[in-house]
Amino acid sequence: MGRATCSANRTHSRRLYVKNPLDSLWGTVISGFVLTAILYLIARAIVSHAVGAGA
Amino acid sequence: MENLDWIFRWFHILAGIMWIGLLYFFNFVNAAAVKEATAAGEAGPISKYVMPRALLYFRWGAVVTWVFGAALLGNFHGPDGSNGFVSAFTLQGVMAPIGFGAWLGTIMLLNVWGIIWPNQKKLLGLVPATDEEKAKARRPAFLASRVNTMLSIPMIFFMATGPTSMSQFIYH
Repeated sequence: MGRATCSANRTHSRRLYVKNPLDSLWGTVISGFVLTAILYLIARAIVSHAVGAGA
Repeated sequence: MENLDWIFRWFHILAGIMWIGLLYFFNFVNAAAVKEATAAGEAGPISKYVMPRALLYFRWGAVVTWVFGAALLGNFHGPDGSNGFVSAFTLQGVMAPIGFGAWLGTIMLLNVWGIIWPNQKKLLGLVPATDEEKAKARRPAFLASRVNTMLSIPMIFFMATGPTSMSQFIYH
């Protein structure tokens, strides 16, 4: 019980210290590149599917 | 209308440079400059003389970019006769990459007119606002501007790669 409470507190305090990447300029830029990679993979899958289907 | 394609593309790029150039000015240059100037008690001239002019070209640059981009897409017809605007926004097949760019640009335009501009008007004193309202306006304006900076990176990627001959090497 005590360990569970301690774990919950740790999770809570860890959440308090999570920073918003958009508060930092370079965090914003890195987030942009990560988002680009994710969207690129989705776009490529859509195009591959369409070309494979003969669209 | 096909012979107007080049003029739509030309004005889309011109206005896009104006819009995204000012977005990068706000985020990479102005935010840090205002912070230092405020600490030195000298931020007044930036708010009074620079920001209203920069925001004028920024928000109308966004509109012109979107309108010419939409015209460019609407002027494009796929091999099956489908309209480019509809195919892009519904992420159909090979139009999906430029569709992602178009959606990102649209979200950014809505951010400019729906969040950044209404809050900046309060912050710059262009509309009456109490100190409390100004304090509340600061965070949404800042975050919407940062979101747009983040979204501009994939948006420009899809604009640069989606509609060109290089797309066959990147997406296939």
